[in-house]
Amino acid sequence: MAIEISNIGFKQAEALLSDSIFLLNFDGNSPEDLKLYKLLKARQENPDFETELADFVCGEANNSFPYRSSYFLTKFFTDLGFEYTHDGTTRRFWVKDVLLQMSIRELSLVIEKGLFNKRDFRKEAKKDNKDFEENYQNAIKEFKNLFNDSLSIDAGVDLSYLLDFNVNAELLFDKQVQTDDDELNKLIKEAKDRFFNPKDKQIAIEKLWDAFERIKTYYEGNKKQSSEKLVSIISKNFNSDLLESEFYSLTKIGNEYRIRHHETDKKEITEQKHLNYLFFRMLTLIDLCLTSINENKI
Amino acid sequence: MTNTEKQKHLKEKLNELIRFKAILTADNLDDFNKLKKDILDLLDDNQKLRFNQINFYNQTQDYSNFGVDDLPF
Repeated sequence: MAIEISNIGFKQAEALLSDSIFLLNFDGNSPEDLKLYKLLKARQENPDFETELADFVCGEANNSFPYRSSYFLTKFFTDLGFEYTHDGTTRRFWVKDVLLQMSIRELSLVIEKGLFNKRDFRKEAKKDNKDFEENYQNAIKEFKNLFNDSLSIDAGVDLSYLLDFNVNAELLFDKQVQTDDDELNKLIKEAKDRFFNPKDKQIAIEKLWDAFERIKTYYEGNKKQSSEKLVSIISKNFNSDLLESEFYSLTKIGNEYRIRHHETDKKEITEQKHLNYLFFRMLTLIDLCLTSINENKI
Repeated sequence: MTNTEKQKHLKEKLNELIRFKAILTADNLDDFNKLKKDILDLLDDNQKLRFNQINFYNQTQDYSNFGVDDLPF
């Protein structure tokens, strides 16, 4: 018997061992390493991770990613600096084999710079007369679902660690907003959707503050009187001074920082951690308002 | 085994694996399988699962030593 070496197999093993070495060596204080760590956990927990990711890269009919023919699959990888040429075999199986040969660093490059390349989404939207923004947001959600599903395969994994959210934050995000005010519902939904995209966090905050201003007039057009009624409802069996002061503080923040107004004297929020802090602080207050509004209806 | 030791072993095994890519034959298959076993001992369960699914080579018929008696007709 003779041996015919599989270069693909060896490359897959090299990637797997490189990833194992990374896991033993990663810096928990480095945002870059932490990001790779999370991606690697999803990859390792889900044996079909690359198969499902390959569906996204190919743009199969059941997802929102741009369709890529054989030529464009090769271009996809060469544009990212990888030397892979589609060999005419079934596209998704070929892509899966390519992804399996990549270390977690390479895979993260494929996802960040390739899979979510807005140029490809725009071209596809133009070609098929689709809504670019809607498609892009759906694609982000589909990827996040793969990410979450991969980790939930093993019940032992702490999901809250995945997205830097705590459990309460997850609950806030999952909650469907249903009030009588459609515009308010839309603003909150858009804020949450946009928050998932790191580049859209500023817009997410702006939408959420718009929702806050909107909710202040939930009961009547007079903002002051409506706000007072709202504060009184949310403060039932609690401390109305505290919540009134929270209303005041968040309104002040919205006016002083570049959130509701964009004049040059408004302070810019430059750090992601502060955007996250303000987003969740506001989302928590809005959630309290929505819960109380719904309870008050009963 | 500490993480540092494990990391050192993994790096050594990775280098051995890369060397095997150029020299793997039917004659040193036992050595290669021993290396695979050593690597598996360093991996966690999920990594083992993935490693076991990797196809490193295919066995093919070696026709170089074929004689007339080996022909099917």
